[in-house]
Amino acid sequence: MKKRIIAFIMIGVLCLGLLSGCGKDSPTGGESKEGKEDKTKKEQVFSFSTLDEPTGLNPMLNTTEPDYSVQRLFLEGLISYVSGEDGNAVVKPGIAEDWNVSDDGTVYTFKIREDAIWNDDVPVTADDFVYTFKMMATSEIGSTNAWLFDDIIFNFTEAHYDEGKKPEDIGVKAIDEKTIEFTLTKPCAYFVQLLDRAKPVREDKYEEWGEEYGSSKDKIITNGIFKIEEWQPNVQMIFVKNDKYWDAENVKLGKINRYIVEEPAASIQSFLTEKTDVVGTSDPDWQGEIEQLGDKFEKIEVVENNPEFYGFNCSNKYFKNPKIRLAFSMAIDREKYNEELNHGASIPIYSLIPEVINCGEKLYTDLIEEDMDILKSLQKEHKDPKKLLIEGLKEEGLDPDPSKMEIRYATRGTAEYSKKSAEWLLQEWKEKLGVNITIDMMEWNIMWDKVEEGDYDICTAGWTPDYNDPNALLDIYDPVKGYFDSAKSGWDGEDADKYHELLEKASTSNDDKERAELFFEAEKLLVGTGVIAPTYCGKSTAYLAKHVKNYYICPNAGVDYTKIYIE
Amino acid sequence: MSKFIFKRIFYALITLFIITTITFFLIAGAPGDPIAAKVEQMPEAAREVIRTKYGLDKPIFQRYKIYMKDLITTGNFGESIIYTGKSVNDIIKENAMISAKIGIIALALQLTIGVLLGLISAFNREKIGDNIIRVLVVLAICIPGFVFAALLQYFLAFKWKLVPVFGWGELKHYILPVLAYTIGGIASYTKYMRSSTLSVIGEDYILTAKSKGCKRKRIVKKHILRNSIIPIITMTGPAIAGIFGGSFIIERIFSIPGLGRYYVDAVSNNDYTMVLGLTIFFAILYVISLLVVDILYGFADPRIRVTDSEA
Repeated sequence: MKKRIIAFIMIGVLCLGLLSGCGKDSPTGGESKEGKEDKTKKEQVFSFSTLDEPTGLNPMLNTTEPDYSVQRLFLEGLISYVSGEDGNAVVKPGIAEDWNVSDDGTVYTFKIREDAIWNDDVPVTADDFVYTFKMMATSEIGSTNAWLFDDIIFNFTEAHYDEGKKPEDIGVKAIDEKTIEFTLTKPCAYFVQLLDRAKPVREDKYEEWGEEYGSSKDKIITNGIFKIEEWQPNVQMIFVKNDKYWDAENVKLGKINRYIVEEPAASIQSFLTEKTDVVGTSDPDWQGEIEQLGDKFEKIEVVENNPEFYGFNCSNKYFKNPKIRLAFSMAIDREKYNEELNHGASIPIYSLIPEVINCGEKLYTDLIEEDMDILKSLQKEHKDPKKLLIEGLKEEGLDPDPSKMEIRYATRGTAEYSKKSAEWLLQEWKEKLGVNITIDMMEWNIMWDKVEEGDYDICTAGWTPDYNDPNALLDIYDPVKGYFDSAKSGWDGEDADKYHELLEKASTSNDDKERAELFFEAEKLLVGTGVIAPTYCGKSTAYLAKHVKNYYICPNAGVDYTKIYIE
Repeated sequence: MSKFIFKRIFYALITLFIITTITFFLIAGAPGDPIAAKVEQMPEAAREVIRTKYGLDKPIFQRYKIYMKDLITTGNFGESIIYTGKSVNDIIKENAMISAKIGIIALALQLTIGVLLGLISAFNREKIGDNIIRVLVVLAICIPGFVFAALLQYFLAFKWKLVPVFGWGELKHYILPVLAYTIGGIASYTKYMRSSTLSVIGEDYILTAKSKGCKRKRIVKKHILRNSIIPIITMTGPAIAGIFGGSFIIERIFSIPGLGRYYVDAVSNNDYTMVLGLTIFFAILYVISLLVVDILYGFADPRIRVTDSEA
């Protein structure tokens, strides 16, 4: 009996030990944290929750969206690309205070600030950036953002792919300690904004830490607005203001809490209990719940920059005919799709480039005077897409009865939405064209594999532009070097050649207006001959606590944390 | 006994080898690769550069040879492809204990409460206490754990603000996940304990013990409990292994940084080294827990104690 009692006591002690062990884990012990948080609310603390943990803090190897959004807090490149007050992306001087472009647009010279320093008091120099670009161009490093500079920086591609040049040969040179010069292969209107994606690493530390650079809080050096105070993987990251930042006196926020919350309900509940200051949700139920709480929150709606579209395999016996492709594209009622499948939470599109994309400093849509809804005007012209379809079938010498067409539609995923939209599409095309398509439900990666092999009739696609320029989207259908090149899209012949020429011409031009016009010509070819059928662009909704001021978001650039303050 | 354990360990090693091999080829054969998870829209040439860096351009058998050689000679699972610079061993070390802390507390509660309720229910068969317990048990078994978790979170944390909605590191963060884990477990232990106790009560030897004038207390402890606990021990084995894996859904709901999340992410990202490392880790745990169960049987029931002749 005694033995048992002792055993029970021991179990009890073990359990207690376990519990107290948990307490010790906490860096900010117990209740004091809550109290501190209330006080610091007025002391400029901004908190938010997000889905994903960064994969690491090394700016050359960790380049997913969560990585970028975290790195921009504590690392600064030559420039910063941020959301301005009007919701447009703007280039702001960063570590470089000033820069010049040569007349032909191929040489950029950046002047680095005298007072820019790393957190260990070492000055930020031109050599840091030269080293960073050299490392990116080294194939053994396997940098995941290097490809952004392929074909842009002189000799970069050749070094990156070991094609006869060394990383030392690339067109990035330090003129003196604080001046850096980039030589480009041709003018590039979006080069400066791309530099936001090349945050610096420092040579001495990289040599010391190697692959482990950025894998933990102790193995990173910073030069940005904030420094990392705490990093608990998959729980939270806490940032505090970096007093050594060159513009520290204008930074108002003292602290940023970035929590990881995967479950939508939890993130909204924590927003409503005021643990976080901003939350995004597309769920109408939660939106209603938040909105009924009245005017404590501000609603922010942002049009996304990633268009969704259907791609036709132009080597298919039907889809090699532009009229047939166009008939399929025009038969889709995009307004109805938006209402019935997206509950109005998207923007129907009639051309490829979303309204939020810039061409140089101005919006692309502002530079074009013509009507940009390419498909809308075509729909007016051809009231009955079925007539166009039959015309096309006759041209190809095929059976003019649309109901005899055999067409497979590949979905991008097997989830509920993919299923519903596929059935909706089947219905729509049956009604308007009399065509009976076959739905092939498949996972997204399988669909991409099929596209790669050219084994599809119609595929479902979407694309997020890698930089804020029409070229980022039009380029993917470049028949020579795009992601959907001729081999995948099956698009060749006269139109395809012209498309390639237009893009080439635009890429060598230095004039934004001229570029915009060339891009629009290309867009008319791509969408107007039905190579793709753009459908919609996402729209995201976020709620912001009213006491947070100067918080601006846009899909093309990051939040400007230097401006935000708490009232 | 020692011969038996050696033999078991030998079998366990073979099992682990087979699991590793199958997982290696399955994950390598799955569509997509980890590079796609790093950057979705990258030109093929740039992708190839990164593939070369991680040795993914080599033929699959060569990759298998390299991996197995590293694993056997150093015991290292390698570095995660997605979380660069982090070794899989470190990730397991850091996160397995988090899942385990919740799991151990939950399992201890499940076992004690479940066994107790099962006994109460069985001894009060068809009486009011038994009926109430049975209704609750059916309810708790039918409702999945994540529903409980979401309800607990909504009411206790969001509506009544008794505990934080999410978070990790402090004592108060344990309350909701432990509750959510525990409820379903208590119900199933209660159910099994009740039925096994009832079948033991009906046995002849209990009647014999009673007729010999054995005290009720002694009958329950020595004769009933010992026999009726065997199915519970069988269930405990896998449950112990499960402690470290955690429940992905519950961890997700309360944002607990356990291994569950890493495992699911690794599979969807095709993070080869991570998937393999975690699979081997879970397999080792499972194999060990089965071994422990076998030994525990011997204590609970001398009839199935392993003899040397058997080994």
